[in-house]
Amino acid sequence: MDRAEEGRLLRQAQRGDADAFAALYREHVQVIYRYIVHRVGDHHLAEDLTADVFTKALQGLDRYREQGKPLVAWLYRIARARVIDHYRRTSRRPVESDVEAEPLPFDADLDTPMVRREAARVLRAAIAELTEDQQQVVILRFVEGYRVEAIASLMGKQPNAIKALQHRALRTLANRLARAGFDIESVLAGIS
Amino acid sequence: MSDSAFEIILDECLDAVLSDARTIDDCLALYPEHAAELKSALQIGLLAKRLKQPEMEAGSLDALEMRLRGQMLAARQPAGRARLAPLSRLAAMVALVFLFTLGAGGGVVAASAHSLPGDPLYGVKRLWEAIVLALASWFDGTDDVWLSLAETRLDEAEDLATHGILYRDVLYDLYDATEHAMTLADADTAPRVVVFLNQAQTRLQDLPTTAATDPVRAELFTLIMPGPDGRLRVNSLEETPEAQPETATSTPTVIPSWTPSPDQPSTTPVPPTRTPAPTSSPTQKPTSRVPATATRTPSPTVTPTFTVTPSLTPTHTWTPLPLPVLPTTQGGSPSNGSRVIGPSATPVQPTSDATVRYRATQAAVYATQTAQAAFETEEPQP
Repeated sequence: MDRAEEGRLLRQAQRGDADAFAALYREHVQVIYRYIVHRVGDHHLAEDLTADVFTKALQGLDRYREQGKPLVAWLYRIARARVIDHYRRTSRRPVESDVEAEPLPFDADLDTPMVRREAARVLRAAIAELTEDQQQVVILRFVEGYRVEAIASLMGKQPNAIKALQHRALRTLANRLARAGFDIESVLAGIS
Repeated sequence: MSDSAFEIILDECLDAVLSDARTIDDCLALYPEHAAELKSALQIGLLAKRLKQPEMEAGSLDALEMRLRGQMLAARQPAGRARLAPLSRLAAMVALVFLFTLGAGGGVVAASAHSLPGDPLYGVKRLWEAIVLALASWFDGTDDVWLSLAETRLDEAEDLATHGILYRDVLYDLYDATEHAMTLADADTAPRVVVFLNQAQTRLQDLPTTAATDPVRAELFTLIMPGPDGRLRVNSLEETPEAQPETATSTPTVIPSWTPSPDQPSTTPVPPTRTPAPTSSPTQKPTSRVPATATRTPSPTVTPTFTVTPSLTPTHTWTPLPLPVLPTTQGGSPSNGSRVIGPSATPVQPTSDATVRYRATQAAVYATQTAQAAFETEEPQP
């Protein structure tokens, strides 16, 4: 969906057109869901929080102004706020011990699916431990495939700031996986 | 080289590697001075890219879209409510009566009565509730309405949970209505609120929840369970006879009999030391809602454990409602060994504060409901 089409649907939705809002929802729901599920690591919770995001969006639709940014930037901001709010309510975040609880079995065959699954699990848990901004950069950059300039626009930051966040995030993740005993090269070789 | 220079190199290499324009080894050859750090960062970037991309299930997508469409329809209702706000209450009443005279409004409202959150008519249902609430405030009857709303919200939560689409806002609405009902309860409503809370405890326990709704249910439990002092936080419960001022010094007129139930310790009950005057307690006034009966058995499944012998009634046997699951209290013994319940004094065994107070409340309700019959049919005992 291009920006012009999105703008048209947005204006229709603001006038109360449920079909237009449904079209915008269909366009963006999966990226918002993916963002949330990477942040919280639970599919059911992610579905509920995704529902919250679009409910909030619906409630704030009248006040929304485009301001040169795509709608998804606004949705990401709501999603981020909902995730933070969730952790504030439950007073629970993934703890470091989750990441390091199961060190890599060194005698395991690194090409086995089990090891790759374990590497993925540890990586997800390690992402969940990054700072809010670092998590968002990693998800947008590597999961959604945005380039740095687009991420800067979505997050309302300068590209250099995004590059710095990306660098620190990758360094932290590499350290976490190394501490958990993973040889990333071998894991990558197994899935190439 | 500064961090920012490395960050530029890293980003350039990431763009190239993620788009398969270069391999990691190509990049390392281009920037051998950063090979070690580049290598691990690029590897992690590739690994993160290859994480499985979760997708929301089609059924959940459709259910959410349906709910959003319903909310969009309902969202138009507050605008109508806002337009009504400047009208005087009298004008609103006249408009309402007119609407019902035409019959259309009644039809829509009736049709919306069984709607659930997400249904197209749910907004109508909530609007109607708001109108009823506003009208009730004229007659100081909002406590009744809030209790009814809490019951409705609980029904809705159960229905939605049955369909697997219970979400947090529904439980928050239930929390809100329940809290209002508890806070605004007067002496007449308080016993019914207690009964509702008792039912709600069981029904919420059985409510299937998700990771998202479970914390809200936990908050609800915190609200509806007795507090650390063992008391349900229902307004006006303090007006039940167990909380009578401790100034009465009259000689006890009855020696209540006590049959300990199997789950209670066989402590010898302490005879009450005071009996409030029958007319001094607001709960001694028979309520108009519940017909007075000589014997009332609130629940057919429990064994009678109390025998209340009021001064004005020879013998009334009552059966306490099933006790909710109450948190274990420390101490286990009430601060006052004897308690006065209803027009007559009934000691309550000190099992735990929560248990004692809950049963005392039930006894008070029972005594209230049977007081009228006692006055009419029995001779007072000396």
